[in-house]
Amino acid sequence: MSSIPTRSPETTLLNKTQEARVYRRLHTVIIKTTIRELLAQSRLRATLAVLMSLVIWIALFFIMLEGFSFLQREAGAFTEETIEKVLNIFYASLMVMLFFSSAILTYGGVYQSQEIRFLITTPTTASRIFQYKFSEAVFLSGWGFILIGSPMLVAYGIVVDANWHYYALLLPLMISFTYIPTGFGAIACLLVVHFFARMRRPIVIATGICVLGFIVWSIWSIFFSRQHDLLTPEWFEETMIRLSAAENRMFPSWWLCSGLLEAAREATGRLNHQAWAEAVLFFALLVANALFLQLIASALADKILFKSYSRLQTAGKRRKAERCNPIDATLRQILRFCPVTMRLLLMKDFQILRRDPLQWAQFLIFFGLVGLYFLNIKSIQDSAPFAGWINLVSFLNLLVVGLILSTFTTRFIFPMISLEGQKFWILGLLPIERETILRCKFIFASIGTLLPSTLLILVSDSLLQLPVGVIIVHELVCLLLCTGLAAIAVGLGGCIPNMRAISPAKIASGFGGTLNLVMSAVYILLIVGIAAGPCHLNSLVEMGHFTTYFSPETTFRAMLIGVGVALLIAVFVIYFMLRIGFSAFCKMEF
Amino acid sequence: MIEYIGVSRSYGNRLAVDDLHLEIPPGELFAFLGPNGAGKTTTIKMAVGLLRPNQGLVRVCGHDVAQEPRLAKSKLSYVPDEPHLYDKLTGREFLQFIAEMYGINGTRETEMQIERFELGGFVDELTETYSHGMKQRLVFASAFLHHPDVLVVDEPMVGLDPKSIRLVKDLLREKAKAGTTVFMSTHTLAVAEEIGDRIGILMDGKLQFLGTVAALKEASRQNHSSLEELFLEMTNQWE
Repeated sequence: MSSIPTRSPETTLLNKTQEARVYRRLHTVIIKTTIRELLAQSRLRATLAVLMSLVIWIALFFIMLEGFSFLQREAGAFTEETIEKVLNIFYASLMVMLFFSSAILTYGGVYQSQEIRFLITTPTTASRIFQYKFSEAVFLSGWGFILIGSPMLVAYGIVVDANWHYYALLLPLMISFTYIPTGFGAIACLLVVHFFARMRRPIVIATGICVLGFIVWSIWSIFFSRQHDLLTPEWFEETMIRLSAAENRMFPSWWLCSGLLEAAREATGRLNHQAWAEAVLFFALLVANALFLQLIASALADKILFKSYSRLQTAGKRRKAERCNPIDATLRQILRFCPVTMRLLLMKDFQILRRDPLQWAQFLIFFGLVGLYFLNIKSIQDSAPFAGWINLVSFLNLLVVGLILSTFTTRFIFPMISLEGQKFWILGLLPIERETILRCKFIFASIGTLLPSTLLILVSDSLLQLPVGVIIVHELVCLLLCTGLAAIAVGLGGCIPNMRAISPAKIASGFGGTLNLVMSAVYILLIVGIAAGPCHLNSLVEMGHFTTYFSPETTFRAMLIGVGVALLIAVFVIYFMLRIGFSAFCKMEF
Repeated sequence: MIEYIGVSRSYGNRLAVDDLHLEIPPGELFAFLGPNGAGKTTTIKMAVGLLRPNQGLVRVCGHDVAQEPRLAKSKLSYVPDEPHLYDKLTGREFLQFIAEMYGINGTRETEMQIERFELGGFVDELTETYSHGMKQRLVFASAFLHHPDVLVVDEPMVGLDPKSIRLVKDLLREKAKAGTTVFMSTHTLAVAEEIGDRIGILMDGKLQFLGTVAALKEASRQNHSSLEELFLEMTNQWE
């Protein structure tokens, strides 16, 4: 190492343009490197991500195309009005989601990231740091919006035979719109942290409860407190009237929808130039508001970001001694018959999950929403359109529960082994077999998923008044799903752990997590399909359908065989996945 | 120069720094000692603009860090105990980013620092592949890139091998000799004793001792105790 020269280089403070250039270059280099690495090291993951996005886009496009064509055929003179209402409701909902996602992402980026601790110590303006992190928040919340929103608009353009002007304005309108709710979200985040640094948690919880309450109230008012039968034109009209608040002219979603509708209107030959001018006007309105919000947010950041960051860091954490929790005590009692090592490992995993509300709250929300839907299942039974409908719905419910379980096992169970890797010096030095660690995770995941899912299926089947035999089949399939999905997650987690990542979300979104999700989906379709097909046929025959082709005895036997085959597949999957997981985990070097 | 003028900072109801008056002149290597939770990192964070004082003010080269943050930060460099590096940048790209941020001739200065800190072997690899020692060398290189008037270093020896520790000690001493104000926090009394010009011992947010190494040694001699015993006594850790 050579000695330090005494002559200092000329240091100058950058102006706004120079600062912007430096940060743009930083962004570009990071994005380029990330893409290059992704293509070089995680080609499968990248391909899967692109393919899945394409599948979602195409599926949404065809659903929307069919939906708009149906409206055009059936709504007659009310087509335009109905489409306008649908678009407004859809984009008003997305606007609310963008607001919250941007607020959360801005909070994570501006106040909680490691990077911000570094950037604040450099001679950068607060507004530049904010804009740098805000652009990330816009991208992260905006790409989902474009993915979900664009197929709907392309489908609408095709149905109304819009010309190229409409398609040319589509993305600019959507992008400029994105900046408005995200801008509001970011401003709200800055203000909440600045003024309520100590109270931010109660505020977030209160907001969460309000939003959840509003969702529950909306669903309740649409499905429960209705005056007409479900899915009838009267019900549709009643629902539309209830949701007309989404058409408020002060909402940017209304500006977006109006701009789009005007741009599409040109092709019909009516109000040609005026409609186009109106569309451009709405675009200008969106851009002007987006830019204005950017200015406000940047000025606000300059004024309060450093101050609010300091306040947040020194807000003080509530220190609380963890006393004996009644849930822990109950679980300890239940597990007292297990071997000591197993009991300790299960208790450890449970306590870690219980003390991390961010993790289990997502699971609770998922199952809560499904539970809400199941509680409303009675109305589906009342308006069953064809024979076997109830039975079909019950199996679809099973499929939904299975898919939610697969997201749970991918998000929480699969990363558990990778996360242990960081602390493996603790478990690795204990006088226990490595297999025991994985076995405990399997038991933990199986029991943890089995309780809520069997309960949900029981509620759904009871409300659908299904025969006891079918309920038993469903519960058995549920058991196979829980144990099979747990085995896939634990087995893959042991085979392809990601020891470097410390965030479970990052581990779940990696190659292993993607593979786990795909394998889980295949397993669910296989198990539910094999068990459901013959069972559904048996129900139809028992109702008196297809009796010329099948006798009740034959279909009953087929149902038993179907369940038996599903059971065999599940046993094989559980054994195979756990075996390869155990084997890889035991050989692993940490 | 760094000046703390009547600075206090609390975390919720807990006072972390209590009415601190401290001045570190140019060319001095100031070693800041204290047990865990004494308020050392809070004191440092106020100098680099991460935290703001509840009371009082902190000046870096005459600029109030809270009122003129950009001017103050342009004069200093900060090496935290757990430095942040962009995983998806190479060492060279990181250095260039820092150079551009301070508005200096990036390429020439970057090359000089690469040579000085012997980063040549790995500077074009992504920083996510670096060991702790390699990361620390890169962070020091980036900190010296714009030849700051004030260098703030938080626990610089943690996790380094003996050779790297020697390098860091020599660097800090050399920087101080060249006229830079070096403000170093450390847990290790021996390090402070070896390279510090002056020592400050902080306990519960208050300065328990402020003086030269010689004065501390003299105090320990009068007290008939070792430096370590005296330090533990000052920080109420001696039983």
